[in-house]
Amino acid sequence: MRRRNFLGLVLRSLAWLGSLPVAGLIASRPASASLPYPIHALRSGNVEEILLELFETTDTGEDGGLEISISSQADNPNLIPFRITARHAERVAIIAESNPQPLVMVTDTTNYPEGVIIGTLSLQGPSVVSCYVLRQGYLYKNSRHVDVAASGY
Amino acid sequence: MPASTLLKLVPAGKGFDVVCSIRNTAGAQFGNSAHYVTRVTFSVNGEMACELNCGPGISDNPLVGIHLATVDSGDQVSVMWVDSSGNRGRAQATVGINQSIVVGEP
Repeated sequence: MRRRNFLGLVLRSLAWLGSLPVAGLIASRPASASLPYPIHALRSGNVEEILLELFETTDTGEDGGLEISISSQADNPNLIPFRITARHAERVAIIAESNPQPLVMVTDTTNYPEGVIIGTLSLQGPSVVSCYVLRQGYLYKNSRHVDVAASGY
Repeated sequence: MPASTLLKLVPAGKGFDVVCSIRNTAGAQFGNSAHYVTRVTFSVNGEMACELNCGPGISDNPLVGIHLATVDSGDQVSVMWVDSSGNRGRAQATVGINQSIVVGEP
């Protein structure tokens, strides 16, 4: 075997061996990893703290593609329907700013390009309900003000 | 009333809204319950589509859902949930067969 061929064989073998741990890591990851339950963010009373934990930033931009459908006047503050559409997002969080624990819901939507989230939330009083979306590394926000007929929670 | 799960597939746009009604708080229909739904997982044919992590701001006995644009007839859509007291529930429906209300086992 020539020296050049031998060195090439050694280098290819080393490259193959080096790729094994990486391949193992990729193969061992589930197809759709779930977001660990963000217990601190869900219990926090501070919106900035929540944003930093979930998105590592509080700087937001406006996004016309982020739609919030929620009633501006809620007769029953304990059951307020909403629908969020955030296509091709990586993470979506819904925050009711006046609630003692503002984070209502958070989800990873990397494997869910439709990005539609339907739900019902509870408000303690009139509140701004905001949706934060992480898309391609940027954080976007859209908000609606909701008045309630009586105190909920 | 024991915990229960209702799952409904509603045709919407090019796909379906998968809407799940969860009854996890017996007798507490107007708030003030001590426990709340913490996690709802939607799957299609056993593969997770979306997982919602919820806090105390989610309503009691919530309605939660997602939209699936690319499901076909025969696909199995399932939902599983757990609340802060450890109560669990699930339901499963098949697109095109039993896509109306399906009551799941707690």
